[in-house]
Amino acid sequence: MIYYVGSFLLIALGLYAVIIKKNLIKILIGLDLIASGVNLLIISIGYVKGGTAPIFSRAGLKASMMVDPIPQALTLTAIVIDASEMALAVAFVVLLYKHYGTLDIKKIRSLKW
Amino acid sequence: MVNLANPILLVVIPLFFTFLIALSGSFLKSGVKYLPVIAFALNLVVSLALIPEVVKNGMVIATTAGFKPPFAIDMAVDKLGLFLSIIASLLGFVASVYNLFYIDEEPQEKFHALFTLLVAGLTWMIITGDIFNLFVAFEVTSIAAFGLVGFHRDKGAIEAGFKYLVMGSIGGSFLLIGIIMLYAATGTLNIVDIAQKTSHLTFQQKLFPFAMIFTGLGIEGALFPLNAWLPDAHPAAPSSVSSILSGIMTTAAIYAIIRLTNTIFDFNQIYFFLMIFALLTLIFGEVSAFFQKDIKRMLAYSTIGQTGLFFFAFSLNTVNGLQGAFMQMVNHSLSKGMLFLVVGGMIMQVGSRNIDDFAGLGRKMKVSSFFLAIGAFSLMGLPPFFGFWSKLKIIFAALQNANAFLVASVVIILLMSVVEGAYFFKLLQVMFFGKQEKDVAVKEASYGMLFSVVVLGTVLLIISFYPSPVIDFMHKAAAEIINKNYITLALKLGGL
Repeated sequence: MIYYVGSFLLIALGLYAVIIKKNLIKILIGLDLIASGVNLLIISIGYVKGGTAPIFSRAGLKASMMVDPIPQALTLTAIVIDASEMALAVAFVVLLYKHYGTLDIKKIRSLKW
Repeated sequence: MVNLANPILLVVIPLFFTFLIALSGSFLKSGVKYLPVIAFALNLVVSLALIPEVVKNGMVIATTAGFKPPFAIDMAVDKLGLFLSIIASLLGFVASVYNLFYIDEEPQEKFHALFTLLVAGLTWMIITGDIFNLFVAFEVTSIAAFGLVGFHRDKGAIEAGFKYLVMGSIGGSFLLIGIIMLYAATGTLNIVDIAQKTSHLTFQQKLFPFAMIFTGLGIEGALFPLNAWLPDAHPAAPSSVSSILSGIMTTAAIYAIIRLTNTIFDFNQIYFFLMIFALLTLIFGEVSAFFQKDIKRMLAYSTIGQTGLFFFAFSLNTVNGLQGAFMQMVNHSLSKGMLFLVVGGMIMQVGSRNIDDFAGLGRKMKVSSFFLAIGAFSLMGLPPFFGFWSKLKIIFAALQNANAFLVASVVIILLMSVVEGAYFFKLLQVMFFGKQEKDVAVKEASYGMLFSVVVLGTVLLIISFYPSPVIDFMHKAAAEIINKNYITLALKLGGL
């Protein structure tokens, strides 16, 4: 239960940072928090208390004693996607800084928002 | 003899070419630009080869990795997926031919690799039968699109790209939350398998994943409160990319919503709510388009309006309504894709995106202007063109079981068609009858660029004058969706 609460808190915190903060880097941190929250959520869905790795390594190990492996695979995929997204976002921020000389989103408004 | 009628090829071919382009860019130099053309020509052949199979069996399923679904990822193409993947391959092919003459900015190999990846992701999103795969395809598409929107690297493009990236990645996270909630409820990721296990879930249990998935896909599909990125991102991208983004990307996102609502979330209480979203999207898009001075911004807002229109038709949740929605999707993809390509050529000649600078172009760029007029007429829904048949179908479908609300929404649709007509006629009037103040040397666009425009225009004209095969096909596709044939066919053909 605590994991679910934690993950949704992380997501909410990230959304707060993206919407309220004016600094581009803080917005990126917010995006990363959302992604981490989602990853934590995925992992906690597959978690079994006291469960072990889903490999039949010992005799007498039943499937019910293992954690669900699929969410872990999904999380790995999601982490890779988040990493590439963050890399692209950082590249955008660098270019924005070159164009405008500031990280304040209020000063970056050549387009109508 | 390789069996061409395999949906996996639709994803594998462009993905292979993406990496080939990225790897061979350093020694092929600008020759790399011919590779996407080959990729999408092959894709077009594969998607056309799927037609007889899909017509015969109703669906083609391909599994991966030697396991059976639900343990393996499968690709399932039914009638709806088939026509969307044909359109995606056609637009990809045409736009990549256009790119040969259009993109001269460096780094070329990165542009072409991202462009191939974008269309690969879109086709992937359309044909996948696995819900987590849908998320991966969504993210592949989005990341390619972020990069392409910022390709010009000037102030506007970077800002639009960043804004799109922030909204798009939040959308991706929401989609993933929805998907993982479905997984938690059912323990499977295969769409058909989930659909069989959600039937015993209560409305409240399905509502949260639905809301999350709807928000995530709604950002990509430009539904009303979530579309702030679109009017910046579509104009900022190179025109061939705008053509793909406007023509297929919003359509693909709406496709995913249609597919998931009709197979997994089988509820009726939600459609009224969706209808209100659709009408707001329609009004917002068309009214904002009317006030634009920048031609690409105008077309982008018009895309929002069109999305609202076919989303409205879908939310009627009847066979006729869905048929109208599919027809409007085809009409929108072909005409808006063509309009962006035409306008790209014109902007290249005029050197400005302001509508007033387009004065007198109708006399100097005759072929381009002719096809621009055809696309605009079809989007407005003027009689001989395909847009007329689709709008007529949507209005009839809405009036089928008319209550006061539906009559009011038909009135709104008609009013918005008038607004749409108003801004397109304003554009055409400026182009054909406007006086050009400064005398700039404007030539017709190059033959290669015209070729792409002419191909799309010809397809549009053919389906305008012989609409009955397309209309019949859409009717069958819509009936399949409403009767949930996706599930029964997948069970019969081993999709599970």
